[in-house]
Amino acid sequence: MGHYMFKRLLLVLPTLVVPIVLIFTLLRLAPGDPAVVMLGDQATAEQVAKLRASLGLDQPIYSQFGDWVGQLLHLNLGHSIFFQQSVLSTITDHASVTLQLTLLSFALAVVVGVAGGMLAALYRGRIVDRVVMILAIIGVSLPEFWFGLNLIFLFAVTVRWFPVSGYIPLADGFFASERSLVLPALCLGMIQAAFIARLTRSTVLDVLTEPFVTTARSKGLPERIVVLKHIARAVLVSILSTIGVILGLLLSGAVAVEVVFALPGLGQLLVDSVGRRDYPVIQGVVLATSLTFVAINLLVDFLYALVDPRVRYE
Amino acid sequence: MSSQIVEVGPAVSAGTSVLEVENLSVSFPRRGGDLKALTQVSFQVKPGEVVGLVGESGCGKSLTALSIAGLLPAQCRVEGSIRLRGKELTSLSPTDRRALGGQEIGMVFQDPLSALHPVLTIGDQLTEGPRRHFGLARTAARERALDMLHRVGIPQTRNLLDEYAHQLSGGMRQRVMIAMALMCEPRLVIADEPTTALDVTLQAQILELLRTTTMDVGASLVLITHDLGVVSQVCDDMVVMYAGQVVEAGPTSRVINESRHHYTAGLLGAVPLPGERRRRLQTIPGTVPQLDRMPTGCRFAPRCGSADEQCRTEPALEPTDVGTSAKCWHPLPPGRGLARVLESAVEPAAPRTDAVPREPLLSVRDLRREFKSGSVLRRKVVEAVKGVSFDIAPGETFGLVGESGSGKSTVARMVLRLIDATDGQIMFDGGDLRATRGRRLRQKRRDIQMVSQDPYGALNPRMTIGDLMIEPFRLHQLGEPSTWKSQSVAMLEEVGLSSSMLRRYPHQLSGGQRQRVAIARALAPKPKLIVADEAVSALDVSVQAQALNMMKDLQDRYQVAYLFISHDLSVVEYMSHQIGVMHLGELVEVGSPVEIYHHAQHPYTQKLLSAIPPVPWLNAK
Repeated sequence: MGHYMFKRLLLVLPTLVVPIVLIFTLLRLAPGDPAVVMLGDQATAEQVAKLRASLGLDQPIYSQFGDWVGQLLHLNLGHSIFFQQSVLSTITDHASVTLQLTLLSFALAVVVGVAGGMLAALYRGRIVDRVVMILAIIGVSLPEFWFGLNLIFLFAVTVRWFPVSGYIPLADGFFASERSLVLPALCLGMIQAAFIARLTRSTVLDVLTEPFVTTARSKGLPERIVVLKHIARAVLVSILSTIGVILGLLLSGAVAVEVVFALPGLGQLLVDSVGRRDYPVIQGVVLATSLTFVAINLLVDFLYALVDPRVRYE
Repeated sequence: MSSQIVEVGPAVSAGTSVLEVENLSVSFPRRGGDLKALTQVSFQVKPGEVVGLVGESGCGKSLTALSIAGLLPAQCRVEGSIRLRGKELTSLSPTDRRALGGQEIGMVFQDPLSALHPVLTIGDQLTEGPRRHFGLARTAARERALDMLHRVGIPQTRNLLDEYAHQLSGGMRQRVMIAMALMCEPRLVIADEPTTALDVTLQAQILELLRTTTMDVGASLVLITHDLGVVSQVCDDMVVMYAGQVVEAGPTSRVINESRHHYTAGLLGAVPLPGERRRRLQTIPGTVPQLDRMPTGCRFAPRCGSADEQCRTEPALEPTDVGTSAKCWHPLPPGRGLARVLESAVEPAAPRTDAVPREPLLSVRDLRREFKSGSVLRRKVVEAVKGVSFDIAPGETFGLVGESGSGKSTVARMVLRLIDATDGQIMFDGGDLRATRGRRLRQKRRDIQMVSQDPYGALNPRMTIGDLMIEPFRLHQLGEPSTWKSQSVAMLEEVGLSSSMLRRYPHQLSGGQRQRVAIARALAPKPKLIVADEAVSALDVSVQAQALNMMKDLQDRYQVAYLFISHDLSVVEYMSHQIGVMHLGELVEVGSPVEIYHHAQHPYTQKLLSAIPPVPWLNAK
């Protein structure tokens, strides 16, 4: 087990190089100059050149890259051009909203998705199955922003159960804070729940034909136990890796949702920073997201070793 | 209807039987009429008795077992009566039925790896039954499980309870499965092909273990199998099923030695017996009918040589002159069962006259193969094949036997050049096969074809038989493209199929037909060697006999050589001119069938031979 985890950890290192290189080059390839954007239309060429020099933008690309990587090695993400503060603290300021939103929608997606998928599979061909599958089809086809706007119209404007937009920090009370995130989490989570439901359904249908299910039934166990213990365990093992990917998708889906609901999260920060050509912040946010993605997958690998004994002994 | 009840042995009053199945019919509802899968099946099992349910796949054996255990899909319609110790099961609610079944009926399935849960511990799986039914505490249940594991021959020093199924060997897994069936000390154990997935050397051992431990807890045993050797080894009574009906039943030795039903006799004749290499296997033409195409009247009539007008009405299952019962208008006369089979065995076939030693077609010398695994730091090297040498003469068969994991298939894949050998030499048709590459190798491949075990997996499900048949012709550019279709039809006819198959898809064919297509495809480029890896193992007995006969005929006609790989010793003996015995990557013995079977030198060969009952039917109980 220890050996297995160590091996996985080592494999992460090369994975990190790829996003670092990609983020940097892609950003420099994009048109637009942060100095021009910051100084506005009226700026003279000298002013722009001066600002460029102070920001280090006049250096050749490779030395800019070298500087950045050098900073990264010191766990320094650089300085925001716009905020005039360190990128790291800019990110932490915005991260808590995104984290809360992602986790809430993740819980929603997994609970609703797994339960819906299992119900659909166990009542295959019946009305429950039809309803769940139709909802799932609609769910996977919905664009987040459109779905979000409709949720706002329905639950915030028409029946006024939830706030239209904005975020109440955790410090102002747990429930108030969660309440402000219900609609965004619904918007983000339901779409992924649809994916999970479809996946769970087909996995359960596969597992149902496995001989060990017949074995469990032959022991005289009630169907409830056969489903919740024997079938669910096997299903969870096979959908675990996809669930990890979905956690990552939620993270990226948060960008659109935060914009729609005006939440001051990482997604909002990213979109704004792109508009401002705030290179260090963009780089920092994307890098942080990539790291989270890698961390999630690492976690899934470890979880696998925990729930599936077959992985440990390979 | 009372004539439908099989009277087994002396008449017993109801209630003394552990299990009484009476007029059991099972049907699957379907648009346009139900599919009747079982029709009026009746038999009984007395305390301490072993009853064998025999027949080919699709005859309803497993369905009978599932009906008794209450494990049928909910939409099935069940008629008739199943009484367990006098208690009617069919009228119980599904919940009660299942709970009762779990306590009183233990089930053992075919493949213990897939029948055991992959991510629950052995201990968890063993204890959940008694904990549920007897309310045992965890520790008490674990003690009981340890005790049961000991009884099925797992040493007390080894604590399996916290291990998982994949950590155990095949034999160990089936022992665990047996222990699991016995955990609640049931009255009845149903074992569905319990040894089919196991290695030959384990089969007899596990079968005996199943019998003794079952008797030990005071349960009766219903054994479902297609293997008549297994039945003759352990069953007191046997019930022969065909197309969802019981066609013959009675004490095992009488049913086997004095078969009255043509199907039973046909099954017996289809099995190659040791020492009967020259005999042409008796076959039953055709295949088991599909549920929606059941013949009216006697269901076996379309495949029966003695069928006449009378067979258009259904015969009853009636007592015979030897105390068995058979469902046939024209029962075989005395002495036509096994005796007949052995008689026909003497039919001499012309032995091969060309004793002149010829250049071998394939010559393998000191062939080795290693598999590497693990990380850079902990490199693990497994030697799968450790220096194997043998020759195959043109037009002859070299049989390779051994247990799973002995390296048989690895040898086959190296000869086919599907994997590269680590070391050694493969000379084929005068050339060094290992040194052949690129275009030359592709041309060479025309001369070495393969037939794999699973014909369904080997045929692309989205291609029609016609497309599949043309493929080898196109691949090797055999003749003018305009002739490909007629050539494929000729090839199909060669293996006993008609051109009506061309438009069908693999799933529309029976297992035997699919294997014929696979063989026809292998034969199409007129190869010099066919590597047949367990090519008949997945087939039913009667179909297997057809395939074996056909492969022999084709060999005579085309002078093709076979590298014939099988775990079934009788089949290998029947097919081969030379036999090689593989054990742990080494070829421990090579010789003619007579040498191997009667003068085995190597202890492993002797062990392998002792695992099969010498002539199963003769020492039937």
